[in-house]
Amino acid sequence: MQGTDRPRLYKADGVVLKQMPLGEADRLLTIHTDALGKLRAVARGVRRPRSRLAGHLEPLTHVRLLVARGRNLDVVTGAETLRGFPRLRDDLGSIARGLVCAELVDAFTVEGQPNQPLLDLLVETLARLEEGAGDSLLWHYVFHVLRLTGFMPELHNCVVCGKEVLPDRHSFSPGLGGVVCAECVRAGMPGVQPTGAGAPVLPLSLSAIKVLRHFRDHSYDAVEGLRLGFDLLRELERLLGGYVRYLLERALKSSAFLARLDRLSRDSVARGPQAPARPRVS
Amino acid sequence: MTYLRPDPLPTVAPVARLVEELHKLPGIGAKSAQRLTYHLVRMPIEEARAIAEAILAVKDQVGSCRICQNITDQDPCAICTGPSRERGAICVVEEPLDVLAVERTGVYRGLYHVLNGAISPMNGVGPDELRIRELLQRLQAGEQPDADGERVREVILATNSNLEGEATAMYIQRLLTPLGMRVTRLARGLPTGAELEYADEHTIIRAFEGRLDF
Repeated sequence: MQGTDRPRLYKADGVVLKQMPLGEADRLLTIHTDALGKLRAVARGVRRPRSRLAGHLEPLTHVRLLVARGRNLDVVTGAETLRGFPRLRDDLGSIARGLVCAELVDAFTVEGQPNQPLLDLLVETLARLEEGAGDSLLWHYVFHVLRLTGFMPELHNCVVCGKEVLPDRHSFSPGLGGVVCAECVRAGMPGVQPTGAGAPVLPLSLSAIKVLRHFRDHSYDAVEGLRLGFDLLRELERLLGGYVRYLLERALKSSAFLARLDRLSRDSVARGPQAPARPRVS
Repeated sequence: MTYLRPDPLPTVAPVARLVEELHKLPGIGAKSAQRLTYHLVRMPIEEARAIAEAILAVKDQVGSCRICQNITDQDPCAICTGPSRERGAICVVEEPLDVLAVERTGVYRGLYHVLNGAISPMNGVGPDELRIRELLQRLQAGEQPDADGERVREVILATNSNLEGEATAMYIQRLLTPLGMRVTRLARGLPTGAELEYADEHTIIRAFEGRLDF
């Protein structure tokens, strides 16, 4: 965080998004906090085994911090775990999903802009991952990260002509950020290209529109009961994953590892009971 | 009073070059690079030459062991070919320095495998960037038996006890399960000298899970 508009010593609650080794025994942390939004701070000596802070500052930990304002980077001087999600850390799939959640917040936020609802969403999602929530949670989370960072897809009116979207074979435009009605695609309206460069559109099934609207209007409690088939999960990956890739102009790094675990699970299908397919976020 | 723009600082080209080169090293900032450079300038030529030759020797003579992937000046390394090493276990660690840490204890006399990192998805380090494939090939091909005809029976996962280290250990454990080999993980919990009051909940949970008869 830049500037000196914060006290010399301040408290903040947040989730550790990622860490990088720094110097001999330090780490550079990226934390999404309540008071300051995304914050980059140094944790001194946390790579030493006797560090009092190290265990509290692992990625995917909800933590209460005491931070000292620094000349360049602030320094974490105290940390206390609020929720460590220990069962999440015992499952590789949950870790991989949790890291996708953290990277998404990191990618869609800038330093110094508080976003409490986004922090609440992240904490709630990590708690649900710890309880073993599946892939529908991940897509629900992706949708709401987009909503809370100002990129919610338009799902009711065509983003080209503005007319209400009625049941038909519509498309989704990552470039325009929402549904393009079948009429506009057929008419080849400016900015809409079924294939190729510019703003390509993706086919969008009625089921996918309904699920996305359901995501938008409901908390995960209401979504949990939905049975999303393999094809629908693949379509959500194509739509939301494609939208995320378009906005970031890159794929999420952590989604590659999730895809790797998916392949590993598929390989084990031949040896054992059916493993659920895991979607790729971006 | 008029202020004149100061003349550019006089630079001595070889000194500036060394400052620039030292600045590339991890943990060396601009000021440290300058300090080290001026120390080297004042150093006797023999000492400076010894440092330069040591750096070149490291680059010329040190490579990776084809078996355990540790750094070595002979291939295979002294541990992999050591007649006194027990060949029933392979200890998997993240970095070459971890081998030194375990060796210092003298408690382990088996073999090693160095991954050269840990899975860190957000930093773009996946399984393909590590020496996991080499470990699998090594286990599938079968190590040379020792004098007692012993082969590898146990893989000890000694990656760091942080999120990346745990993810790496769990990933390798998944890959090794089909091989039917015994896979163990170093105990996790309170380090020596730690105070319970300051420990995080995950560490305390691990410490309780790993408690032993006393």
